[in-house]
Amino acid sequence: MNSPLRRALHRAIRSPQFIIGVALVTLFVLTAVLGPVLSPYSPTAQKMSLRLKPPSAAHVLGTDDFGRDVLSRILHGAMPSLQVSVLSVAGSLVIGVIIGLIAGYRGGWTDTLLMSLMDVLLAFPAVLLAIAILAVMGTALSNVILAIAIVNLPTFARLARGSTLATRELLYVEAARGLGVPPITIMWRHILPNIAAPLIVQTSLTIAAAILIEAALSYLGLGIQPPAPSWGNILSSTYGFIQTNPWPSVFAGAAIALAVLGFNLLGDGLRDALDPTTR
Amino acid sequence: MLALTLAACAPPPQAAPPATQPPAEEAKPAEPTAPAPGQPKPGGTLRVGTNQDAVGFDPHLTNATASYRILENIYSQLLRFKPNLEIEGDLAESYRAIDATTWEFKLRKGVKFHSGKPLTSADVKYSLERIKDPAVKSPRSSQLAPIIAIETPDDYTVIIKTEKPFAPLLAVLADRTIAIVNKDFVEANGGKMDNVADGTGPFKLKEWVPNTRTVLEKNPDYFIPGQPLLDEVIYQPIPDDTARSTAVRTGTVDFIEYAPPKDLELLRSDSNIVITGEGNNNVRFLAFNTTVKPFDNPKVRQAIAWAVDREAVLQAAVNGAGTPLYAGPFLPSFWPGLQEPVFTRDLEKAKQLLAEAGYPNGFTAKLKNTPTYSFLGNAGIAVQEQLKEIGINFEIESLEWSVFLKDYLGKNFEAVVSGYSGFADPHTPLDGTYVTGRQNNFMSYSNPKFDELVARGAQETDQAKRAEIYREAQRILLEDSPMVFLYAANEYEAMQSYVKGYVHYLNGSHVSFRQVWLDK
Amino acid sequence: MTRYIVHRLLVAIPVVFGVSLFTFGLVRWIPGDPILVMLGPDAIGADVEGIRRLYGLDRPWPVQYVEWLTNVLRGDLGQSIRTRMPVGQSILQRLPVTIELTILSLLLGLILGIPPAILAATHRGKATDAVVGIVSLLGISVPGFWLAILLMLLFSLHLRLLPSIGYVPLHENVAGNLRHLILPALGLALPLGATIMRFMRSSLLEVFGQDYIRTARAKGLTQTKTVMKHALRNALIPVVTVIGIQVGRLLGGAVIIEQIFALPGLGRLVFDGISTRDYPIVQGTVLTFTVIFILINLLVDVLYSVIDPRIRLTVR
Repeated sequence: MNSPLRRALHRAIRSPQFIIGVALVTLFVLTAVLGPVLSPYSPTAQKMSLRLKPPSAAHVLGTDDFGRDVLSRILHGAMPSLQVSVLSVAGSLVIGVIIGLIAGYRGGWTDTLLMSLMDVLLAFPAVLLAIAILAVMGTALSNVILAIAIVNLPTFARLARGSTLATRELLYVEAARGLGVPPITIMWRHILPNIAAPLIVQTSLTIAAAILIEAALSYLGLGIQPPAPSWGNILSSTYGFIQTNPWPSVFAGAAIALAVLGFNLLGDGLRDALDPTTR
Repeated sequence: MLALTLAACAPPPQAAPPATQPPAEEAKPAEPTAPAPGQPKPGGTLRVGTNQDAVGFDPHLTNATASYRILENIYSQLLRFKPNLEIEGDLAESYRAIDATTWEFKLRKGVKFHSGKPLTSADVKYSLERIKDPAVKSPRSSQLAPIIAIETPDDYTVIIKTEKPFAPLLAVLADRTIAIVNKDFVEANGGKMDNVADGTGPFKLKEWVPNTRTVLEKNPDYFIPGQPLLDEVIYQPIPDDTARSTAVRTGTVDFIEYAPPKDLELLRSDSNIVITGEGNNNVRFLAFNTTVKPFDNPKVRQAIAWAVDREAVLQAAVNGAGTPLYAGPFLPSFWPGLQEPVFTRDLEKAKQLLAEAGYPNGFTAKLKNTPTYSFLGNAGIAVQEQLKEIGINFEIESLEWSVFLKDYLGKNFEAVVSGYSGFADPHTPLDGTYVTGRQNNFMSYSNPKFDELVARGAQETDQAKRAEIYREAQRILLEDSPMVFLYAANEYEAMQSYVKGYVHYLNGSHVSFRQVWLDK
Repeated sequence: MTRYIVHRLLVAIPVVFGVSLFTFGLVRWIPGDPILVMLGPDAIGADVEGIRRLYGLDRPWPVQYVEWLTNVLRGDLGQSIRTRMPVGQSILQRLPVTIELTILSLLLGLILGIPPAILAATHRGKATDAVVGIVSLLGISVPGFWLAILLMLLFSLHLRLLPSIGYVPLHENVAGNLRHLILPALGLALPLGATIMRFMRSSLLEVFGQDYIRTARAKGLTQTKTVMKHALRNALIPVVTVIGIQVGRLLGGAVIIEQIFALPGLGRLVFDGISTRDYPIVQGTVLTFTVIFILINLLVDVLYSVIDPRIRLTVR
């Protein structure tokens, strides 16, 4: 890690929102990793006689419409939700940055072509993409990840391109180019570190958004498929009972909101710390 | 009628049985029908929240229940069902069997189409032949296949002949899908009636704005005196269940179909709301491809039939609003239905059958399931969990409806949770779904003895003897278990208490809109 | 300026083609058959091939694409396979709903986003900043459909203030139109407002840090005047960019809100089109989205130069 980042981190640690963000994200990750171990019941075990019960000693967060233990489902559902959000964003980050770097660095027709492609994706309804991917390739977790990754790809490409454009004209980059340093080296060594800050911020904000996208896909029947639990599908399959038994949807909604809040706070904290002009 | 299956519906009617037809003469009377004290008064607009938009308005071409529920108030048939599903004349004033294969229908005089043209026997002949015409590609053509001749000796007489005695004929003709259209109107429109209509029913089609509203207006010349009472009916599709029940509770609409089972409790506790509804002839099942291992073995299929907990499936699928099917495809209340439950859960028996079939430790197989309709998707999830107890591990392949349908119709599955509905006569499902080589026999099931019984049943005109034949056929069906029958869903409507005169039909029909009035 | 706009429109043409080709290929590539969906189980017995021919779906798809494109250039978007209504007409019927919903949520989003952002930025690090920050974060932390249902239950069921579902055209009844659209618009505006607030706040802070603002402060301008005169204008630029992207998302992303509030907008049209594999509907709607999206982004770029005359639009 280079020193501006390290300095930024030092600044960030003193910001309460960053700390709360880190705490919430840590809680999310811990839940995902330890959830299956801590879970009191199987997340798919059904007991119809116990359908839609409010919290009790045996079922701390109540039961859902299959009589399944909501706590166990939320604990088991954390990992798929974490995987979907983090892996999809990792995918769009890597590919988006490569596209953005090339477009911004090369300029001209390369830029126009790549950015037009990104505009195509941006203009394209996300739901159509999701249905297409899930219908063709099946509803496996990896395909939900792929769908969300494609949806978020243009955001990263645009961001990377914009920052690259600004960095390209910096003196030392021009100097390196003049010395005949290969473009790949220039991009990797000189440009990427300079555009890292906004990308890191965007990553945490997009992870937050990805959690919500998975929930939205679940509402349309396109997210992670039951009976396997995810926070999105727990919420979407129980929100209809909100007037008769609000518990499962309230707990699933709260889990989602806290995770999203965590990544957002983390992102905001990082942004403030990384961007010296806003100090 | 069988054709009006799930396929008809586009996306999500949650717990909504996709299409339904009359269950039974003896079926239980409708739960509470809207009480009608005071004097019916004419006027007003009924705002109806549906779960889906109509798909098109050609009564002979469309396949969607959402369309039929509107079309049945625009068109009339030769015959019609009463709320208790007895058959009575509609456009036919009287009808009688001349011999075992010939029926005579006398038409009402003075009936006019909305366009003003008087109805004659030529329109009836034209309508039935239009459905039968292969070029029109009506999904109803197979139902009228037994008809070999339609004669019109005069303007008000229609003679219908079948090749062999065909017991289900009257039930077929009373179905709302066999609408009588105006010959001149159809021809003037070049055979296309997707968004225009000219019927003889109580209401006229005024406007269809897809996915926004369908507006019907009063037909002042309707042939039943004093009906309809309403000036207008406005249908609005509200696909989300919670939104639909909220809409009727807040009075944004006056009436909703498919009142969501999950909200029944809430709706019942609301003093402004009246609920109608009860049982319905539809079947939700777990079907097997009988040509693939291990489902080619009847013992395996039977073992599953013993291992499934139908009451639990019913809870998960439709919040308990329905009837578990322990003994075949018919409700015990339907006249050919078997009375005694057969497959009440017995895990020991199931394990023993599995062992006899050579799978003492169970097996792993694939189950195709669709999340698009929770009343099917949730049933699949419940069944999967229950079968783990006898060592059968179903891997659920969860498919969006269009993909699911393609695989289902293409017999590309090992096991599948699906359903059908919409039958007035037992012949239709028994013949169409289980007889060797029939179009809806997706299981590739074949038993010559069963086929023979079904053929015999169609020719038997004595209902008691027919019922006995069909019971015999069902026992074979249960023995072979090409599918495991899970449950039949109920259907409910909810309305503001000032909506008077509505009567729940056991086939889910809304024809009683013609006598509905608003007490406000 | 004119030259710039013309150039941008010319560059946009390949994008429109790209999207249309992509859509065309994609809908045909995904499994599921519009004819089978339409016919249901009867498809087994029916003359599926004949019906397919009737809709011209039997030919190789490049041929179908060229034919479709030719018709589109003539202004004919084709006919829905499912309802057999003209696609152009279906889109035009729904366009007002989508446009009104988008504009209303944008307005609400700006109202919910900008004043709190100014408040937060001018009180940086104080309690006001923290409160505004947390409230706005909550706006983007809750899944949209859940928020929508909660809004509906609160405002129409419990408070009986607003109708729960449906749509009244603007030209029929302005008040009725607003009453029907306010809840769905609010459902979309809460997350949008939160996003705008966050961008606005940080870009305001950035501007505050710049030399000319410091100079202005040094000249003794009061806090309020400084904000209004210099900072706001400059801070708006990144916000406008974000709005450009967000509006694109609003157009197609309102599916769930439209579904819950039973609004006949384009989002539902395209979703139902995909679900039933109604190819002409999907193609026509996506094409419409693309054109609107491109126009909005062009508008955004033009807005830059209006907001800040120093930015000149040049053809690269």
